[in-house]
Amino acid sequence: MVADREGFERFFRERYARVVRACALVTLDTAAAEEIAAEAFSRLWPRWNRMQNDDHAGGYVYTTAMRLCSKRRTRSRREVIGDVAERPADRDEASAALDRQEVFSALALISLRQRQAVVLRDWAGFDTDDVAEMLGMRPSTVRVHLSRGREALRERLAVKENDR
Amino acid sequence: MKTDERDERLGLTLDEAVTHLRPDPPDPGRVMRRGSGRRMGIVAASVAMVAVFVGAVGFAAIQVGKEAGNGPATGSSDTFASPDFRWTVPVLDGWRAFATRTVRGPGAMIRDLRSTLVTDSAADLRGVQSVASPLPVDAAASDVIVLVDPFVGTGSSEPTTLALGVDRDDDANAGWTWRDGKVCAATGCARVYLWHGPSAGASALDEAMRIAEGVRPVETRTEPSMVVPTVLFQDLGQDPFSVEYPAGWTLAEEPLTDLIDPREIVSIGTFPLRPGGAAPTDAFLPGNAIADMGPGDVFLTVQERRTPGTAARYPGRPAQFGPDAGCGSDPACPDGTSLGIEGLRAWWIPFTDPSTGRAFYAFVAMGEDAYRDPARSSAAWTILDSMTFGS
Repeated sequence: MVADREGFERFFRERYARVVRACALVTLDTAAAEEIAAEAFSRLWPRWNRMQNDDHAGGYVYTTAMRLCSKRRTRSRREVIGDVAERPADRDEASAALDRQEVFSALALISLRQRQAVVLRDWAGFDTDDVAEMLGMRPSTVRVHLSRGREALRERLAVKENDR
Repeated sequence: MKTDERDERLGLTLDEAVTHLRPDPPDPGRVMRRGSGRRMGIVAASVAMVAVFVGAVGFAAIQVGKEAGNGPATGSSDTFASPDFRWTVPVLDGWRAFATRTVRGPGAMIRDLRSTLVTDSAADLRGVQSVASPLPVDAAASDVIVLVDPFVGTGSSEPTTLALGVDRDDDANAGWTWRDGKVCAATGCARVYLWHGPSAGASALDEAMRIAEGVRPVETRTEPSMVVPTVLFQDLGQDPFSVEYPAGWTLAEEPLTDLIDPREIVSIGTFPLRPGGAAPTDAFLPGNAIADMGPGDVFLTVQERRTPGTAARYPGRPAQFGPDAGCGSDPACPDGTSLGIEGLRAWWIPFTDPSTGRAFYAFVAMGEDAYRDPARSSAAWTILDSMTFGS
């Protein structure tokens, strides 16, 4: 990878939104997610020369973002529901907002570690070993978090999944 | 359905929940500057630590050389720490300290507990959100304000000392300037802002520097000896209200009940508050919180009625809340025994807020020891008195 400013800017523009979404799913706070994502990318820049490729840089950003998410107080269910249910523009949007509310409410009921494991594995698509490295835990521990998190989420979201 | 398919479906469900998020990326240049600045900050902090150490040794040597009997250069100082974010901040004579916690409404990030220190003895600057935001009209040009904010970021394995940046113009308040710096410990970091008006005196600025440099993270959960401040909680959402409660008490982070009407708007106790549980005598009561109360505990919850016409039926807000505030002609009510909750003194007080026309129930419960302790029992009523409604 050419370690240059343009390369970093391209990488930042391509990946920023996705990192924000990952952080939103973990912190359940969209404003905090943007702040954390920006912070994670700002920490990448001084190390940009040492990144071997985009995947390497992506792994660094996700790892940093997950650490920052762990430091941030998770929003309570009340705050989460208040946030996602706010002012839908029309009927479709209202229905989508309700779906989001369901998902965020379900996420609020599982632990931070379980959320991180599920988001990195099932949403971001990292394999279990990568997730373990990012979260600083053993793969077997990640598997336990994944299994419990998935089970709890499926239970909460069962109606929604069956409706499809 | 196969496990892999179910995992994929779960991933898709999560994806649908966040596809609406299309954040505008901030300017990459700013992100890069922030990253570079942090690195320089780490170097600067290391240099500053060495400088502070050398300075402290020099200062100590000078002090040792002075004659005995010299008093401190300025007035006495005091410290406080919050239980939520464990920072100690020196509060010098002539300064006032506020601890505030604010929710800026749905969609906004939570501002966690923060400390505000101000020279002004008259202005109410508790609502100040951040530097470069419009100040209340009663802020004076000679005011100096120190803001201490928890900072998003990891802690530092090596404690860092404060290195304040350069003065910057405050675009929102003509003549005001501010500068900031960061102080870290393993438990986290705080950003310290030093903010002053155009006529701020040199001595007040010196004191502000001493306060800013004296901000210290508390490394362990053991609280130091402290002067307990009052915490101001503001909900600036759709139905705004604020309440003040003693630091060290617990504000419920989520409703303790599933009630819709009345809707629980705030619950505060002297002990950790568990949501849920079967109501002991009254369907509106949070069962677990009541069950967890000990003889020295105090608990209160405020619920808002939404049913039309309720406000007209409720009495007006009492001038001062107290055990007889909602008693009417019930003779057993003032001593808190009429609700019949075993081991507790308890009161229901309905009232209508005159400024907003909103109708509320306040429920107050105390263990027997708390009821007999004037400081504890009066705290519950003081909390209710502090409540304000509306923006």
